[in-house]
Amino acid sequence: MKCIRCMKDSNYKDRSDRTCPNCKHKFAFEPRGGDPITDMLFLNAINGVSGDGHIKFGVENLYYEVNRRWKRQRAPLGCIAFFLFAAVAIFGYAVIAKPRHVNNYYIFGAAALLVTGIAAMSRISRPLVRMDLATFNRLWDRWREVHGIPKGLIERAPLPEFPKDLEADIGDYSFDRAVICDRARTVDLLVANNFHFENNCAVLSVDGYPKGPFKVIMAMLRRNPKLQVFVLHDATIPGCRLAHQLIKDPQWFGGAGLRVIDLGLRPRHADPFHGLLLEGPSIQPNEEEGISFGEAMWLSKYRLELAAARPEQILKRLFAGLMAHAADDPRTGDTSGAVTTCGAFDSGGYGDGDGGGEGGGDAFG
Amino acid sequence: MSAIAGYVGNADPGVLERMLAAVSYRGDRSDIAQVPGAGIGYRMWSDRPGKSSGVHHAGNTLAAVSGSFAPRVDSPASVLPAILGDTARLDRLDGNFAAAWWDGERRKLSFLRDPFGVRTLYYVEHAGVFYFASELKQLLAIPGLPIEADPVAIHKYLTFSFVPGEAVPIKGIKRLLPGRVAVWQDGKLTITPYFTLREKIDPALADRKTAVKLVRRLGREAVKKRLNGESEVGLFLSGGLDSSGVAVWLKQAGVNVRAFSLDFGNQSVEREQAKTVADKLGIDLSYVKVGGEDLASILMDLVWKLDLPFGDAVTGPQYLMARAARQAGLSAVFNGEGGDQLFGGWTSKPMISAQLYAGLYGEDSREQLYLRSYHRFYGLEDDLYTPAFLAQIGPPGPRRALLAPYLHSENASSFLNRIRLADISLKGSQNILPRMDRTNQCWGLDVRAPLFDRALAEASFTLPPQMKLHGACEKYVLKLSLQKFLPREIVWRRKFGMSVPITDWVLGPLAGPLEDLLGPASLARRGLFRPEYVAELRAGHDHANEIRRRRIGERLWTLAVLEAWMRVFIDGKGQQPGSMA
Repeated sequence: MKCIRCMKDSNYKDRSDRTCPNCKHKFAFEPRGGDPITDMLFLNAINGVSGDGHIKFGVENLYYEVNRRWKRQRAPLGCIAFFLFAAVAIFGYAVIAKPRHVNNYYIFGAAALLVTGIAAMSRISRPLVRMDLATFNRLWDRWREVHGIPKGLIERAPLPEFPKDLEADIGDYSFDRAVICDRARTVDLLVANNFHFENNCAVLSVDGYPKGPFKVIMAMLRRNPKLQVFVLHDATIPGCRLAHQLIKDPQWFGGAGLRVIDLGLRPRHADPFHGLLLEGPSIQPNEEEGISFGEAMWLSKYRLELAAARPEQILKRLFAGLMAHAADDPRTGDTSGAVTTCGAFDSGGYGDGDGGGEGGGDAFG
Repeated sequence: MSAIAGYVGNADPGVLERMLAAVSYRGDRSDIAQVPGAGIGYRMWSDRPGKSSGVHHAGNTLAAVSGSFAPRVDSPASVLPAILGDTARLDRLDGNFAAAWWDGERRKLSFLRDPFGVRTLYYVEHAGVFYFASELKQLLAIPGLPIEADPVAIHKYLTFSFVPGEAVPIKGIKRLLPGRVAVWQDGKLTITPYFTLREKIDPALADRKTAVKLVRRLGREAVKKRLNGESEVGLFLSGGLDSSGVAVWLKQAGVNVRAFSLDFGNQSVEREQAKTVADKLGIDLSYVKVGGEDLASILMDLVWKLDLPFGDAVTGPQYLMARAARQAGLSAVFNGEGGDQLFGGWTSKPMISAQLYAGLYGEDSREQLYLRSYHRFYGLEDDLYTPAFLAQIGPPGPRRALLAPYLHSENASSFLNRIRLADISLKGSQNILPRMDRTNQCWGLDVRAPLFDRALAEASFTLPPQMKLHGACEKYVLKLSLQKFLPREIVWRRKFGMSVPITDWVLGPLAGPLEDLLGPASLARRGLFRPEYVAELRAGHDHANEIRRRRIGERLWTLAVLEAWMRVFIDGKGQQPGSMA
């Protein structure tokens, strides 16, 4: 196992007391002692989720990144191939060579290998996330204890209601656009990475986060009759409902006659997140406004959190979504408003790669 | 399009000739006047109205003005002593000028720059002599002057994309800031501002009609008082609101206008809008085609003419557009610079957003938020700088100290106007205007930015801030003032801004020059930057948190200009360079 500080590979017997024999740095995890992962896997997950230290991230992002890597590590293709090859070889030997002592042992052995292979494959292809949150939290506590808090972890500071020393006129203006999220932690991800600043953008959660400036920002949003509203959400029933909720709720944009663009996750985006899904609410599926029956079926079985996508992808795909609609007039011409569902997450991988290009209409800076 | 230079002390008598020869492109003749212990030189073009015809020399008094006052004065140098002696006149002084007055009786040198900083002045004390000049390269012509790069100023450049403040990237040389008068007497330098913008909100201007009337009148006057009697002037017309507004006021002044607009082929952002405006106003419009390959051939000359490093890629296209205007026979050209700074564009909305969320994850000072808006290398120092360079940039704080007087100014109480003060004083006066002057001066073209007019700027600080940023609508009062004269889609459309396709250029046609300037060998020789990060940028990749591809080009261009500047001004001591091709 490699030490993340000096990169020295050591044998179990050489690293007594979870200490690197070379640099004496402590290991957080010991697979031989029952830990499911190594320090190196956890470090790589941190590097991956933080874009090598350039992106701020939440613990939830790290949870999914560890799962993504753990899944890969636990699903070696060679292992599957071995089982299948062994089963076919035994069958082949029994059929072609016809050994004198061919008997049920051959058949039984081949069948056992085949069943084991199929079981391994089915386990690998399980859609639900495998490392439970309690296990991850135990590992996370241990990591921080040994290696400290990683660079880029988003940590909230308390924010006053509205800073008293701020100039009074700041609330008199407005924003070009607003991104409304179904979770406060998505707001954290966007704001901590300066998405609001880069895009003249308000970022709020539907449950009123960030609490301090929330009322002021909401009042500011109402000052722009051409406000572009985007929603970003998990693939959950409340998430997929969010855009319709916003155009109806008078506390939000009900009666404003705005077209809300839904850039959030939906069941059709789930494929690349295989192995990162959560269990759904197991309720009777019902078609409703904004949710088709097929989506309702899926949403009753599963949930897909936005945090399962890498932060880099979330930022780039959201930006591409904003730019794709930069020149749109959001007014619907009546007071009822409308929802457009767009596919910010419709294509490409979500863990790696570039994704999300740069659209036009970027006036700032 | 002219330059001055001068000294106080026992200087080599030939020094002024050398200092004027260093900027020979700023005129077709020179005038030098010297008295015991002082001298002033002036490089100028013949037959330009509203300009001094030589150094004013009366007894022990010497005076020179590079540029012109607004409104026009026929012989600016002759009235300079009277202006400097009259506070009331200083309070109204406007125009594009750099000026100096040697009072032999009091043995006092006074020198000053225009209110917004179109014309520049640098100074240095060397071997007991005090020197000043319009351009940095003029000072480098002083025999024996040590030329050593200043890492702290370079560090600031890499944050702002221009060099802010008094220091320049050569140790010992300083710049007089705009709107200030400097006095050198008895071996001491005293600097006093004669122009300071102050917020004085007039509640009557909350009425739209009243505000519109004021802006229309002052806009017209700002243009009119910058017409020096030319029968025809040029206009750099982007198709945006500001230059279109200047087009309107030029037409109202009754002068013939020929417009020029940049053409980046299929990457042009506002090409069609420029044509719409020109058609509407009956202005002749020429497009100036610019591609990355054009920049490769001019890069070293551009950097030399810019004098200081300016890391915005717009300078290349502007240089080529000025050349086109000069080749068309024009000697004066107008533009729309200043609309954003005066009327609430550019940083206003991002800063409002940033300020509302500041502190959510720890301390974010207003200065730190503002520094991010320049989008160069602020916060990336550890990735870009070598340990040796990092060790030379000094303690943290000087960059923020440049901003604090504006962002927390006592001369304004509103958030918007504090941001305006920073935008005008930094990006406007220390970046846009001086680089604009340089890219035009080098072709003998006199450039005028009427929106940076003293009366108009002062009036903009009497407007309720909501007349500038109305909800999310920037430059609201300017739009209201111009909607009667321009097509609706020009006035009320969303701003797109000048967007130079620099990323495509630096990764394409400019890749060769960039290999020369920013390749491993060059980086190793200069020792400022880590090759890994620069190589990543040159491969078309930036850090994972960068969502805009354009930043790759902006950052690479900023680095390339700096290296080119180091070669010309540090290695080459300011001498005219050869082409890279």
